[in-house]
Amino acid sequence: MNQRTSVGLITLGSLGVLAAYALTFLGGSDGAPWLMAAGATLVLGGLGLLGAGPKAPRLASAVIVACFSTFVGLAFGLTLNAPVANGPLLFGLPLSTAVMLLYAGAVPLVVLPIVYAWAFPREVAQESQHESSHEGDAS
Amino acid sequence: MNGVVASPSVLAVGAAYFLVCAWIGSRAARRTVTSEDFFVAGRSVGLLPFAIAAMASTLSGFAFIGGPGLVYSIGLTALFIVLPAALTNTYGALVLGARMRALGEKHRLVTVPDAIGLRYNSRLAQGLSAVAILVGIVGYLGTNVLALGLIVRALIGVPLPMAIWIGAVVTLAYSATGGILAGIWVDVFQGALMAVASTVVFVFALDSGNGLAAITQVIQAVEPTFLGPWGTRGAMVALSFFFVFAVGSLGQPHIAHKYYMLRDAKRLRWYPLLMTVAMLLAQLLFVGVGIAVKALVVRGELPALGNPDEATPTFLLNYVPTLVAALVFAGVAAAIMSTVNSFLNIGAAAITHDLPKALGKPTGDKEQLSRGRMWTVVLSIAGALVAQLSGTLVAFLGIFGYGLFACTLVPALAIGLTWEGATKQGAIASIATGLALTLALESAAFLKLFALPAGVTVTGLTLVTTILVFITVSAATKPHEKTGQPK
Repeated sequence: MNQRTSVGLITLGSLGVLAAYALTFLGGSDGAPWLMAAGATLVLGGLGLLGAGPKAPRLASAVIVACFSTFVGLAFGLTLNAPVANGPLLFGLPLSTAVMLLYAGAVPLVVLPIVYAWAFPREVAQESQHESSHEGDAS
Repeated sequence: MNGVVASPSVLAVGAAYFLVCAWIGSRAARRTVTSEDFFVAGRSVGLLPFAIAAMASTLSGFAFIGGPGLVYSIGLTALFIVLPAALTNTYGALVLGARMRALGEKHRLVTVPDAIGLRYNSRLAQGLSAVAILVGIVGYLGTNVLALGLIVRALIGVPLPMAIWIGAVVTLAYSATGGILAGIWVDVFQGALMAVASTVVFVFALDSGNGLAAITQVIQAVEPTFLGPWGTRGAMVALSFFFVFAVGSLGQPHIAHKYYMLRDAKRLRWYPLLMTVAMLLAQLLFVGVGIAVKALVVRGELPALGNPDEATPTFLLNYVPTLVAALVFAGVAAAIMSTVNSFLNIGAAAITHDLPKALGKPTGDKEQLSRGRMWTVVLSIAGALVAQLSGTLVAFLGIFGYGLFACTLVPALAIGLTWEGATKQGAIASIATGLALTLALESAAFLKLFALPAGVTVTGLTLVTTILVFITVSAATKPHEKTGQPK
């Protein structure tokens, strides 16, 4: 993913967050949490892709999966009915909470560190070495 | 936390804890001979101590006292403070880790402002970021030293002002002599203690309510939204927490600074995995105790808490064996002391290393070491004095510190370290905007000159503004001479 796209995502996400705050200032709207969820995950996606760099397909894929899953989890939370007394439970929690935590918590928690460790020799260590020698030429 | 829990076994565990800290600190102090030892642990830290120390510094007393209290009062809304860790445990390494480690080794960098100064070839950017760090640290130190004082008072029953000084002096003893080298090794002991204490208490918390499903059913019967996806404060507040703590975590200088200390860059490979496991264990108490105490109150087994911060002490005193409670109190002290040590160190580095460099008068190695020790003492005293102020003001300063770091450092560091289009002007504009907006808006909000609607925070608003300022100004100004930027 090139840097322009990553920074574009960060900009778009920031504008989304700003719009969510503006809507809340204006008295709130059902759209504000959706803008906030989308904006926050776009900023995080952009930051992750920028950090992964252009020659890191595995890391970039992991960032996309993690951020998409986070957004899906938050979207479930915004869409599913609020829990009620004696409602269904999953893993000991209300169903909507458990589903949200599964996508927004468990998936990134497992995927990101494992893929990072797997991709490290090819996509982080070599890239750092390359950057270091490049930057040494420049200074 | 007014109650005194002192009993012979609690005092024995407390005394043993402080003695172990002092022993580790004194051994490390003997190895501290250069300013690199003092500020970046001689770049000699192995993976396991590195990961545990990063975890210990990340978690302050809030994870053990304020956090569970917040869960007790607003339900799962508070979970969104720790939920971002699912991403940020890896993001730290992905966005900052490898680059800062490589730059640090090549250019002998010792501070976060060093990286900013090198990246933008700008003494002004380095100086401004050092000022932001210093301003934020004084408040953050005050909050943490006060929390430490509350623990010491609860343990041994001395008046709060004296308890604050006792806590500050113990932390100072190893921070001033051994710097971050002592801090890292004490952190390893403290981090392990925090993880064990948190896990054990989590088991007791679930047991007190006959398991999570039973706890959920009890709470849902009276307050269904408490354990709903957004807790009692609703989606906007929860998501605002998520944004601020996910993105803001990349601008915390006491964590970013630690990447310079890792001995072997290749070991960074396993850091996110280790950090994830360590953080998961250490944060079990955060959620577990808050929910368990809520269920116990609903069932009428405990009276409603007057102050939510009493959730952890109340649970420990009533549902956990005394020895385990003592272990947890030591764990809380550990969480606070490791954070205080990190702040003392980067604060001293900002004064003795960054500001002279920004003013064009860099100091020598020996001078930095002696001045570093002296400023650690001064900052520690300043923190203890701030901690004597009113509790509301001290809590405000803690929030202010986190927000200031996030707003001033995320754009220039987390984005700018990698983005080739980032410019010196963009960095300076974003850091200055972050400083001015945070100071003005947080002060005005504290003085009740205006009130923000629920879901909008000064930190969130300022953070998003500084990111946009950084990108816009960088796009409008052309990147010029090549610098230390890792391309």
